Amino acid sequence: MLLAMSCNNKGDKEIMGWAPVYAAAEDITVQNESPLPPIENAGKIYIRGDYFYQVENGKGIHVIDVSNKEQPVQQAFIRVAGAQELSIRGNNLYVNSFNDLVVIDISDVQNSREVHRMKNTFHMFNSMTPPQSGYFECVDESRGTVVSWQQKMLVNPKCRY
Amino acid sequence: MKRYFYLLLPVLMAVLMLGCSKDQSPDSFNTGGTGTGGSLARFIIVNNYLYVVDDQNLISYDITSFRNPKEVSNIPIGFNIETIYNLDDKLFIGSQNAMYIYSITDPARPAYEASATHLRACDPVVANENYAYVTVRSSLTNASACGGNVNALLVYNIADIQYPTLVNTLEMANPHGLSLYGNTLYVCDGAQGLKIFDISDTYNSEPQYLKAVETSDNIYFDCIAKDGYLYTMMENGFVIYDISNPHEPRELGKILH
Repeated sequence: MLLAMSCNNKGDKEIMGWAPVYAAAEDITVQNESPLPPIENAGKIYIRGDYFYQVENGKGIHVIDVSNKEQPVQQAFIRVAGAQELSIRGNNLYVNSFNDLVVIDISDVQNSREVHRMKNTFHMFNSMTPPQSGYFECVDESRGTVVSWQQKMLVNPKCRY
Repeated sequence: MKRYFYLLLPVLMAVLMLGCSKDQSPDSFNTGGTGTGGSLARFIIVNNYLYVVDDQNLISYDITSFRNPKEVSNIPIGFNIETIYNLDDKLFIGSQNAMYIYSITDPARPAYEASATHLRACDPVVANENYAYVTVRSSLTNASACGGNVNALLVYNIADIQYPTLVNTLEMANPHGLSLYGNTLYVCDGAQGLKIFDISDTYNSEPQYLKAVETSDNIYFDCIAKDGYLYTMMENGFVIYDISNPHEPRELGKILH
């Protein structure tokens, strides 16, 4: 860490550290996608009646018709950025979008839509601090949800843990 | 007056039934509108509450009004919390070094009942009235994420829920999720397949290993056994098995990328 520290000619302290990566505004939306994407980064699973749900890690929820168990058919993909978890009650899908709890009306699954959102209600993504201790660029919550961290050269970093 | 009431009764019932069928399918009627998740889940709905475990806390949301969840409590549990499971009025919470049991007799305010610490490793929990089954796994890809160097199925006697006692440790390869189906226990042992155990002898706490099932060299992460079918979460999709004979899963359909 000490080795990575240096001073430039203006006397600013430069040091290798972590900087937050914020979710892009368009990531925080719920939309149905067509054509249906394949299951690639397969995530957690959920079954209710004739429908099986599988998370596409970080991207959304695959809705699969399993009324014929020998021939499951992908029926919809609900794009939810940061999705990892789901549960269902009535016609409502409860899912996380990063650290938001989002309720999605799935009564017409092809036209699923967000009906409620609780922002930053949990810390599913432990995103407020970087993955390693040391200097980091302070989080500016007005810039949105921190979804990951990247290493970069920081100038006069004020945050450290 | 009484006569009018009886005349009105069928009308009232019809109105009530219409009111229900409007927003709930017959299927959701039977299940209270809720389905079943895997053992790796961090979300679980029990009656009118959605329970969520994040990295350190158990957060309870009242979802009586489905589309207007209200956070009613937020309880610090420990560190590196990973999974939540429900049996009757208990929540079983898995962290990287412990199993915690909370009572939801008061559903809005889960109350601590007991915990059992074990070696540092990742771990989901499932339980019946006698035993809790926990898998502990050292991470292959990131040793620091789960720590530990143990891969096993642990059996806790929970007959006295306040004092869970470790009664068996069965070595496994790289176990992830697990699922109980009556007297059968399924353990997703990564690349070693889906392992099937008979647990019908409640006097012998050691699950009796029967066999392993594999599909196209895939990695088994989690499973849900429900109503005669087993759904497995694989590395790149899922497989459905017929488990009308629970010891002999028969592969039906799958979507694997």
